[in-house]
Amino acid sequence: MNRHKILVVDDLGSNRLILTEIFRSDYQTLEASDTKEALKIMENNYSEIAAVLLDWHLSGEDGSKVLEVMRKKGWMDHIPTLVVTAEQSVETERICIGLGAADMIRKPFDRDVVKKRVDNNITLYQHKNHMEEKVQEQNQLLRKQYAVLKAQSEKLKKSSQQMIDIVCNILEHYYPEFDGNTKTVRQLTKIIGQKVQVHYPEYRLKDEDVEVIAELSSLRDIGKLLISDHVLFKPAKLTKEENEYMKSHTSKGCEIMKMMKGIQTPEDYKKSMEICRYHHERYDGRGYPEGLKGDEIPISAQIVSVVDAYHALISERIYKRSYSKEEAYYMILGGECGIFSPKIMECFRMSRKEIETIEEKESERTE
Amino acid sequence: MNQEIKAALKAAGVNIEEALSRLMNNEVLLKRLLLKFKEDKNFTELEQAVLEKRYEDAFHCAHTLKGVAGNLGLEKLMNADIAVVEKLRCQNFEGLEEELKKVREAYTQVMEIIERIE
Repeated sequence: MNRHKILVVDDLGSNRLILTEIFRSDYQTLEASDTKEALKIMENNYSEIAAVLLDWHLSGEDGSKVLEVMRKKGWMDHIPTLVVTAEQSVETERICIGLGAADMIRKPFDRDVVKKRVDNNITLYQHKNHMEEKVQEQNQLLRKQYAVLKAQSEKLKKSSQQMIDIVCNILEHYYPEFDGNTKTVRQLTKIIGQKVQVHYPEYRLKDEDVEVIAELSSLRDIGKLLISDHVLFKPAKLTKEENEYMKSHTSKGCEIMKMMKGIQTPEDYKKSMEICRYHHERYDGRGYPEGLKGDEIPISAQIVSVVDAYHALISERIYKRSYSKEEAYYMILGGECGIFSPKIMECFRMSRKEIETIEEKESERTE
Repeated sequence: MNQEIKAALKAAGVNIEEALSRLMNNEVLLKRLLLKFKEDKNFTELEQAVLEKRYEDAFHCAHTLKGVAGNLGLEKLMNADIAVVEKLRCQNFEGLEEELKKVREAYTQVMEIIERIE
């Protein structure tokens, strides 16, 4: 912006003439004899005015109106106004500066002082304007970079999702127990997770948390990859030792997830570990591996835990038949298959209809 | 402006050097402004306002006169006027007439010389 004009506001022509004479060699001067004219000139020359010299005692009014409008229109931020007055009192100075005047010039003034003051203020404001432009440029740059970073983090998220999907696919393919499990478990988890999010804000779940927990729910038993087939597929009741060995799939799951640490965001990794390790904990503290109690169990694991129990009931396993949805629902409520927090139970109850509709849709599709 | 006028102005308490310096030593402009001062109504309006006890208007006139006089280097007039401005500002009207008389004297004196400028 090229600001090369100075606006002189004074009701006396001779005063305007004197100031015009002083600045003639360096600036083009514009003249106004009252508030109205001054504001009109500013409106029309806003981007070219370098400074305003404002006589405080205009006939019938003072300069405050000019300053007020300049402030309201935002002109004041870019154009310095120097109040010219024969007034010696501090009171006037206080009023002018308070209204946003950049400086005061007392009449009768010294030519060099006026010139220097005006020049100083113009330089100062030009620096300021320049800085503002610079800051704006920088802001734009930052916004661009932020967009790039965001895109990259989306990409990382996406590839980690794909990785998890691939692992689930392999699991489904090689282990009959996982067959058809991924999609259903994710949907069940999402339904119950959303109930927790809405009804129990104390857990501070966000939309994306529910999404991630649902996605990772399908990896809860990944540790079973490291359990020997003869125990995993044993068509009879496990011995006490075998049962203890079987329980180690929780900590073994964590070991596998540790290998995937690099492709997950830190928050997702933390949830993976919680879900693999704690989805067999019980609200009463009698679960495994650590016997955590109540809300010591991370909410992600609490949600996946009830889904795991329900899903196991409605699935056919090598050691048991599948139960109907109704049977499964009442078994969970009756505490026959795990103990869950009252809050989780409430969410499960609220989800009944939704859960059963999904299952129907699911079976319709497979038919 | 010839030397005689300049000397007369100086004697009437006009600081010509300072006024010229403010005007980038443009003597033609100073002359123009002095001639223009003849048309300035602030002094007559000041007297009228004081006469009619419109002290607020009087204050504004005195104030403007102070600025104009200051700009043109009319120091004697300005100093006399400052006393009036301050009295009017504090609304202390005691002795106002006397101060106003000093302004009138200075004004008349300088005006007589300006009338002689060709």
